[in-house]
Amino acid sequence: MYNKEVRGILIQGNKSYGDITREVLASQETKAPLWWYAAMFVGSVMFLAGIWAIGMTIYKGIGLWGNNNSVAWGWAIINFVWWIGIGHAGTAFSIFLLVLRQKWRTSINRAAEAMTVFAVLAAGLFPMIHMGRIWDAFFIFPYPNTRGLWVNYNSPLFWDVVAISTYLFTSAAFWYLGMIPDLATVRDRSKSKIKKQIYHLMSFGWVGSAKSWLRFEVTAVIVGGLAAPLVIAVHSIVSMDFATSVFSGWHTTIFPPYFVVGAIFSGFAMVLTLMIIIRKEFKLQDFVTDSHLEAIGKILIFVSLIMGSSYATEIFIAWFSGSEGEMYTFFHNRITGDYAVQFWTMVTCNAIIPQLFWFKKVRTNLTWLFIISIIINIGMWFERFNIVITSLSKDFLPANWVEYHATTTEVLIYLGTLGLFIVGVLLFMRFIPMMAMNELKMVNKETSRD
Amino acid sequence: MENKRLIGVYDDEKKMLSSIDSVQQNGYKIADVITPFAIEEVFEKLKLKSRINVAAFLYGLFGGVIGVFLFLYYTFVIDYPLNIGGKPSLTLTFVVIIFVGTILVTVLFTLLTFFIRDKKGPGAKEHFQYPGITDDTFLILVDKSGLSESDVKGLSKIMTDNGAIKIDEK
Repeated sequence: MYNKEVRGILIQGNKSYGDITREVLASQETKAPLWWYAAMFVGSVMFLAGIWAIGMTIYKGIGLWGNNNSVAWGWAIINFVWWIGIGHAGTAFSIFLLVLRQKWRTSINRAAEAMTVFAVLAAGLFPMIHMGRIWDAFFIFPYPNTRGLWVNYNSPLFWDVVAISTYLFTSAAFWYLGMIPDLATVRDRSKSKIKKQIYHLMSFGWVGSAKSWLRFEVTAVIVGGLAAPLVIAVHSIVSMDFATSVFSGWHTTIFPPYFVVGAIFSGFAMVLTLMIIIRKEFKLQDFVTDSHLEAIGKILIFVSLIMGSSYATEIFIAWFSGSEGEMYTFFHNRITGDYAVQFWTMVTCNAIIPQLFWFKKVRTNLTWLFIISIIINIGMWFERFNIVITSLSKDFLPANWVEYHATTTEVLIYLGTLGLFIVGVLLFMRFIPMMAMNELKMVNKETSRD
Repeated sequence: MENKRLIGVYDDEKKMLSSIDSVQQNGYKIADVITPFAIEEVFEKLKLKSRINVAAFLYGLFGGVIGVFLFLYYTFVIDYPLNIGGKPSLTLTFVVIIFVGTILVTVLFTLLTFFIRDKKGPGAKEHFQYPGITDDTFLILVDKSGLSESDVKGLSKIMTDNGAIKIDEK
């Protein structure tokens, strides 16, 4: 059931099982490098700045933001969609590849899933503070209350709440479930009494008996299998926040697939950024080999082509529809006009630059891979900017037209979520096995070479 | 305390798998096999089966599809039907919430089933401890109760002949 022929070398260096344990856990069992402390400091400062900005928003109100009556959704929703997109990577990566039985996922899935959890946490923060009265945020859940009211199940905003909470729970649970056997390994190797106690608590009494492994495998496939359609559902639902409203540039049926592919695109790019850092800094080249990174590069070319086609389709349909509003939005407010720079940044970063991956020299060069992975995430941020801001800033009544500029508070909140992500990922690198050791061992013998 | 189980210790899963075959062919019953990672052949050789998938299907069907639908129907059609542009209260949009809700309910209860069935939880005690079992050591455990002294000797020989690096008792 779980057997499949594997292709190529997944783990280099002809390692024994003990070698895999030692090398993966080396980052935890040795002293943290200086760069880790430096990055932790920067991340914490960003995070604290974000907390301060959120505190000020709660204390003084949404007036501190650049939002106005026309552009009611500003940076908060851009960043929400951006983070959710990144958050799709982990689950998309580990679950789609699990369902497709692609064993090269084993070196990368743990880090990708960790990324998902921190990105979804960062994403979930934005709609809550965007509500303005965060202390009433629980009103969004359907619960018996003195008002006798329930929520509106026809609203995509409510679907969002259900989908994102389910996604956060499912991806966190899938991540933790996969981690249990490896936490037991850390427990058994710990020399310090306190560390042993903590990992004893976290490893849920795992021993590794045959029956436990069988139940574990079945549960992982079920949770993973259910999370796969969830990945598609969540970003489709996020896209419907836009697509179900009657706004030029938003009211289009291409949105669900376009958003899902965009999410996978930005997510895979972020996985690439992270894996290049992990591989280099923790000397894990034998596990994350050049062919792993090249495989991600190949996926990115494919997804980039879909992104380019989506942009072209949107523009074609705007022209084909004959709707003046649609044509104005695309031809005079995106391709040309006030937001042309943002539009062309998006096209260049997402549809043109990733085409460089067609060249083997580019997709096997770490520096290029790293730079392009960051360019893609910049491009994806601008895609969300284009969607949210351009349509809102110029609606059907020219009297309502306004420009939108983010304020310092909004920028700080965004930096704060970046800080949260950085701190989360750094803690993950130090305290949790960065790679699924038990899965690496499963593919070790049949795939390792000198 | 008297040692209850005979343990064959291996450093290679292939040797352990051939040892399982020999032990079973000689009529001994294997109590448990402990490995640092999941090995499909062990499940097959020990004829292990799990019904968690059946449980998950039932959770999805009853808890998710029917449970979530009934909740939506009660709150939105019976208890307080909101008038949204005169549209009917029972709409196709329920499908979105039922779809996601079914996944939530199924994942939650499947995980709970796994943890309860396998007696796992925060701080749960390890039911067996042996050096290296979560790293690079493979164990075959056979219950000693009902085995004579010569049986134990024979079993130890079978295990050693198949590549056990050590025979232990615990």
